[in-house]
Amino acid sequence: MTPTTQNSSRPIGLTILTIFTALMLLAATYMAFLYAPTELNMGAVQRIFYFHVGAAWAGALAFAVVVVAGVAYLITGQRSWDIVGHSSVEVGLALVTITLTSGPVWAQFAWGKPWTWDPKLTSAAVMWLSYAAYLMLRQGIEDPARRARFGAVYGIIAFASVVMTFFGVRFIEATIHPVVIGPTAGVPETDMGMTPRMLQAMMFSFLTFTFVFFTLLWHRIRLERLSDRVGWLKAKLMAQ
Amino acid sequence: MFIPFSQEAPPDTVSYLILGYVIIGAVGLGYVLSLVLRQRGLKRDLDVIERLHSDDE
Repeated sequence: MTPTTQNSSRPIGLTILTIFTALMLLAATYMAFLYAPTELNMGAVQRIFYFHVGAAWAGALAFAVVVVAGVAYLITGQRSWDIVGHSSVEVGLALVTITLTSGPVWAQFAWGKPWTWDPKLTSAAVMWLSYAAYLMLRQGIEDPARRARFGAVYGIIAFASVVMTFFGVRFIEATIHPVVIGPTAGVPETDMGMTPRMLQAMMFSFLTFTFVFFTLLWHRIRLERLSDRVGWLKAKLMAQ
Repeated sequence: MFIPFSQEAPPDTVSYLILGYVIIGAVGLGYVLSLVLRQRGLKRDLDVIERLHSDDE
């Protein structure tokens, strides 16, 4: 298998995107810390939600990209789609890790304990484990074509855990997790009661984390292509 | 004396906020660092392989 081609120097578009994303992150931090007002019941800790929810959104987006890449790989069989899917799983997992590690800090204050086996939290943990398993299981498959096929199929099936986490649990009344956006926001037990400035900060965070995801994905894809090139040259050298 | 809800001071939860963003920063920067380190390792490998190739020729 020959590697997909790539210039060793970083494309100007990626450099511009990286700088722009860094500036967006600075602006999102300003909006989360200074622009949005302090929430009356929880105080400053509520500001965690701007990045917590933004990262969750970008993680879900990453796993949706895995589905698209998986379907495209199964249709075309091109290694490029396998690279996109594999890279997107890794970036998505990093983003969901941000969500799963920052949430307990807020929960410690709000619920008096960092974790409960609430349907939403349990579903999010299952989602994280599903994609962590994707990375581990992939490493155990030697044949590249079989590995890519496995990745494509697994990535499509694992998306069920994302749907369950972000949409399915909305229909379970037992959840105590706040609903920030969507049809069940407004239910007194779980509604965040956001002011317009809070909503603006949240929306900006969604946009910022969308850029964070695409920037990291591009870097990760380049890394995978470099890895392919090194592997191919090593194999060529060994064959001589 | 009755204090309207809107005039109550919010609880002091700044320490939770700081801890939360320290964790967010650590996870985010940790992942970026892992990308940088893997890229450096691969570039080093590529240099060695290319040197071996040129030695062979």
